[in-house]
Amino acid sequence: MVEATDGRLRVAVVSRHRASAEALVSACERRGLAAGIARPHDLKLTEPTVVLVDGTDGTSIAGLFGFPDPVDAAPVVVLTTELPDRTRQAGRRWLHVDMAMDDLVSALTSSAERDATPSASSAGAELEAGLTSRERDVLVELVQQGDVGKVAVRLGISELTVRSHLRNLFPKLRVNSRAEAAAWALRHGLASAAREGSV
Amino acid sequence: VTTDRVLLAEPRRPHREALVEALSTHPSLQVVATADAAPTVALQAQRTRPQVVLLSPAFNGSFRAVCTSLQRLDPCPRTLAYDASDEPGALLDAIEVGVDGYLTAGTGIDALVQGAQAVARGEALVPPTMLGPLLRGLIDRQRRAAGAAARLDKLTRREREVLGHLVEGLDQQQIASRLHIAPDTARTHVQRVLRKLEVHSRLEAVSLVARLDAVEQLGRAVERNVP
Repeated sequence: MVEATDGRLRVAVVSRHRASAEALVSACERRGLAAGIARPHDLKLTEPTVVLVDGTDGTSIAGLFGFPDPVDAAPVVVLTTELPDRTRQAGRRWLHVDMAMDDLVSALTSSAERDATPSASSAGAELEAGLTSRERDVLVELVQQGDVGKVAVRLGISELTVRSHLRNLFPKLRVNSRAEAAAWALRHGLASAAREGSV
Repeated sequence: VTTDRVLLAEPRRPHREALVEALSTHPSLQVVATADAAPTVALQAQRTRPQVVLLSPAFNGSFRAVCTSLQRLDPCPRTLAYDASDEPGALLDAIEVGVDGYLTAGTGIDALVQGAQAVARGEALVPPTMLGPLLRGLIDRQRRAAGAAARLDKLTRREREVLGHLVEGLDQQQIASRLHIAPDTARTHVQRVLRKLEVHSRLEAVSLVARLDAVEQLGRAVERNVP
C-alpha cells in the first residue's frame, strides 16, 4: 500500500466539478486523510492509495468503464447516483451518493486496506466458492438489508429472482439458511464490502 | 464586514456536507440551511430567508422549477449555479429561467464564495468567456420566437381551431368530427397549418405552440366558436 510519508492514506479526487472537488478534498483532509484533486491522466504522478471518482460530474457511466488504471495498487471508487449491475465486471467499486461524508471516508479507508492485504480480501474467498458476480451482489445486499424484499428493491429484480440466487449460492457456501450465508459473508470479509453497496 | 446568508441546494450528500464545511470556514458567508431535493428548496428558503440560493449542477434539469418556486417568495432570494455546464445552451437555459449567477465547473470554492457575495449585492454573474455566445443565443432565440409568433398570426381562425385541437392531442378523424367537417377537409386544414408554421410534423407544430406559450391564445379562439 502506498502511503503518504506521514502514514496517512492518499486520496486522489477526480471530478470535473472544481468547487465540489475542492470541498471533498478538504472534507477528506479534515477526517485525517491526505487528499488532492487529480485529473485522470496525471493520476500516476500523484501515487494515490485510493482514487475517488465523482461519477456525478456529468461523466457518463460508460466512460467510467474505460477509466485508466492509475496505479496497480490503488483501487478506484466511483460515487454514483445508481449502482450499476456490472460493478465487478468493470473492476470498480461503487458508492451510492447518498452516503454521509464520514461513511465515505471509512469506505475509502476500508477499500484501500482491503487491497493492501490480499489474504483478507473478499475476492479470494468468493471466487473460490464459485459465486457469480450477481450472487455476490445478492449476498452483499442481504447482509446489508437483512430482508429479501429490500434486496430485490435495491437490485431492481423480483423477490423470486433473489430467492433463486440465494438457493443457488447456498450449496456453494455449504450453508442452509440466509443467516448462515450472511455469517459466511461476514467471516470472509464481504461485510466491509457491504458498506459500499449501502446507501 | 457583512455576512451573506446562503442556502445550499445540493442533493448529493457527500458534496453537500463537504461544501457546508468548506463554506463555513469563510466568515463572509453563513450557510443558513440546505436542501436535498428540488421541491424543498423554496420551503427551506421561505423558512430561513437566505439572500442567495446556491444551485447544485445535479439540479440542472430542475432549474426552472426551482427558480419559479423561489420567485414566488417575498423577499425573493437570488440564485447562483455552481459547477455548472460550460455548454452555451445550458447557460442560456439557466439565464432564461432566472438564474442570477452562473459559475462553470472549472471554478473553485474561493470563486464560489466571491460569486455568492457578488450575487447577494445584486450583480449578475456570467463567465466572461461565455458572454458572447450568451448574448448571441438570447438574440437568436428572441428572433426565432418573434418569427414563430408572426407565423402563428398568419393562421385563419379555423386553422387556429385545428391547431388547438392538435395541441389537445386529437387526430384527424377526431378533429373532423369535432368541427363537423369531412376528414379530408380536416386534413387540408392540418396541412395548411403545418405549411404556414413552416414545420414538418404535427409534433413540431405542437411543440412550437408550447414554446410560444400560446396554448391559451388558441383555446380562446376555439371557445369563441363553441355554440
